Amino acid sequence: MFSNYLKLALRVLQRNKFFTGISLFGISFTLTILMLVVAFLHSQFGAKNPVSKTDELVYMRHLKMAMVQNDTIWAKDSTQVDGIWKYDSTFQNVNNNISTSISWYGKKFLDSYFRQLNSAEKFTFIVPTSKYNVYVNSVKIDITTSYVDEQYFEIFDFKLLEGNFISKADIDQKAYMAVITSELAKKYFGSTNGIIGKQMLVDGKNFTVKGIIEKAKMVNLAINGQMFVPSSILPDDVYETGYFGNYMAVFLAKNGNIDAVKAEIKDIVSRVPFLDPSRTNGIAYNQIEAMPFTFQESLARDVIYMEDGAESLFYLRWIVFALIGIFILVPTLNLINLNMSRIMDRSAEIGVRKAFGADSNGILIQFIFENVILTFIGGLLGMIFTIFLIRLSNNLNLLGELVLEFDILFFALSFFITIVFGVISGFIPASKMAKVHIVEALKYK
Amino acid sequence: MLRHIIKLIWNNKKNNFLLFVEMFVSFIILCAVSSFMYFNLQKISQPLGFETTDRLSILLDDLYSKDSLLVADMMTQLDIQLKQEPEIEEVSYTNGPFPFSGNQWTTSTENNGIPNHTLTCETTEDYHSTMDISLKEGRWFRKPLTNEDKDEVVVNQAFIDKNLGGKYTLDSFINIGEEKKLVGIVETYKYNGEFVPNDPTVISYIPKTDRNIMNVVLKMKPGTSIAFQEKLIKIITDVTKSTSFVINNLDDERKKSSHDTWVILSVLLACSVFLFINVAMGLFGVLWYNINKRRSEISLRKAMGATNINIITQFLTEIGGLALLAVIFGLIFAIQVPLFKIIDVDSQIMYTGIGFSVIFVLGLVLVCAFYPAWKGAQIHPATGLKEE
Repeated sequence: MFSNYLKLALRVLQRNKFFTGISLFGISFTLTILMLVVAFLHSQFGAKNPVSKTDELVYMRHLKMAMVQNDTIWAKDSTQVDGIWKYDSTFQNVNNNISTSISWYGKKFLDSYFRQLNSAEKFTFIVPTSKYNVYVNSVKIDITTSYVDEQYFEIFDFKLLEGNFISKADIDQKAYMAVITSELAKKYFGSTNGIIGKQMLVDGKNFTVKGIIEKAKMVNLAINGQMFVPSSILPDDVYETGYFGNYMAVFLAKNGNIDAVKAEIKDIVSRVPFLDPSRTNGIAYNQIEAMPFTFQESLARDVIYMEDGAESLFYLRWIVFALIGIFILVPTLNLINLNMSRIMDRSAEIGVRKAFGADSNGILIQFIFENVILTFIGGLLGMIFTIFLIRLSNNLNLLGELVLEFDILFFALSFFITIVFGVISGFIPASKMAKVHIVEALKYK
Repeated sequence: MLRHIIKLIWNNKKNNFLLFVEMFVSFIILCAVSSFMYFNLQKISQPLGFETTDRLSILLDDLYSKDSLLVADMMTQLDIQLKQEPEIEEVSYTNGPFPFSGNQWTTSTENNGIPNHTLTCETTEDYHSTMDISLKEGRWFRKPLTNEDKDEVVVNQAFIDKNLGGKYTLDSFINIGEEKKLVGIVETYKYNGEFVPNDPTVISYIPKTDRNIMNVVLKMKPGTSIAFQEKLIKIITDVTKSTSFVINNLDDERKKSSHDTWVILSVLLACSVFLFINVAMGLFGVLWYNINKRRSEISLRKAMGATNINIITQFLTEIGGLALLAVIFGLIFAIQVPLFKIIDVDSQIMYTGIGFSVIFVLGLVLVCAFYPAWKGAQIHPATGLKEE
């Protein structure tokens, strides 16, 4: 039965090469776009090294401090009530934002309030991606350096190629040790072999290479450095005004319960005392808000601003789905149209099969199956295009730090999308074909 | 004739419905894509307003946290040292919003209840010659001689058009938070890159000894090797006693600043081109089939004396009519966006995009219909009628 359908489907496809070509073009193009979107989302948001626990991390990137004044606005208005003029007064309570500052966290602030979170298993305070110029044999290298602590490499599971991560002892001794990516090692030393223990001159200081790691392949501020050094070597008070500084914090939630972490952070911040204006450039801040979000939420919040990052993510997801949906709608309609106009080609066959007792369902399934075979071939072509485009994007660095990847999950998802697309675009024409009356079908031609 | 065509379309409404939806959705997508493309093309058609080749920028980001007297002393030293180097032709300084920084400082003022937003940048008095900024009118600002002197400013044409309503006199005073003397006009100064909209901008004076200085711009002798930067680093490290500064090549920064937009635009363009090839081929196939199915009708009409051109016109008006209906239906939705300013984009751009989409969709449909219609018209009445 199955092999019969398959044979028939392939025969039909060969019969009218022009139409098969048009259909295949549309299908493979559509599926290429869908697969690229899948690859993009999977590479940027999927759980893999160094962010395997992507759903268990809470990021605190920015601290918001505001000075708010309550204001009452009175309005007087005259109205006519039962033919008599009367005064009517209304008032509004308004929160006037006089001054709002959003910046990174200061080290002292983090140290004094966020070292003992009950809901967090681990935490790390990072000064992410400072840029330095380094010249090696008259070639300029831009090095992005992140200052980290000992728990950083426990939260972010970078793949260690050689050597060791930064340890607690390095932090305590303020050691000038560096963990670098293999990419930077190649740029700086020319190779990745035997460079453990060698010296690197960055930012006017000599660092000893302690470990080599594989670079992160997604865009994520916390992990996009090329060189990781102990944060304890930074002077304590530089750049800090009040609670602001240049740190961010990442928490690993206990048992993956990120909501508990968020709630605890908000609770702590609500009890933090307000600063004396003399320490904040003369501004009397009376509102402090920590903004704890998951990485996806904070990205979404950059695109669609909402008070709650989870809400931003929700809207962003639907907008992306809707856009893809509209884009995919056209090729789908196109395919349906093509199939619809070719129904009568097969009328004799349908008539004969029905006359011999085939029911509508059998015919429906047969035609959907044919369409699925067609989309499957288109899907294979699309996958070839996709892999080609992914290679192209990675080689040309079109997406910056983001390296598109394809793995088993990607192939499984693409296969699933292909089948769904085939069934959806085949259903309307197939049901119309199945409904054709025997007499009508046999009469035509 | 028109009623006849509408009747024909209506009689075949079941088959035509899906075609109608396809054209409608394509039209809506094209409206959005073409408006977006046009919006960006219009932005890059305006020049940056300054030169980037052989320019280096040095980002000094921690002056603000230092003592102001110390900074003044340090910057004077740095200026002397830099100007001694034969490779450096000119040196000037800016505050936070410097070329390709992504920074924006905005001043909002009110003019008879209408808010005016102005981007402000502060530079030293020789910035225009370092960056080769050509003035459209007037001159660049000078260093104020006394403290009582009003600051002189240079503005861009967009400031004149949008914030001053096109009316201005050189050497008059304008109000941007405080009174400043307008001395020159530049056509554009898009310091954040090609794809940044050309918003009203005011450039005013900042002394090079100020703590707010964040960026040093150097005009290098053409052909200076990259090795010179090592020497530069030594000079700056020695003077500032700090290594937290970054040297950038403005040409590279310029490319970087528009890289993302170029990626988005090319992906969008590639997708749209493929989408419309797809639509065109699909339409072609469907029309080919439909017209072939009506061989007997064509033959009959020809036998009754219709010419080839009559047949072609009939098919084209039929399919064109359907496309027109789809486009009109689409217009009802599309026109809402610029009409009620749903998106904050110049409505002129949206109208152009919509107009282009109308012409493109109708044109595409007619082109796709022409060959099948022409082929159909070639049928000889005798063969066509014999088949029946």
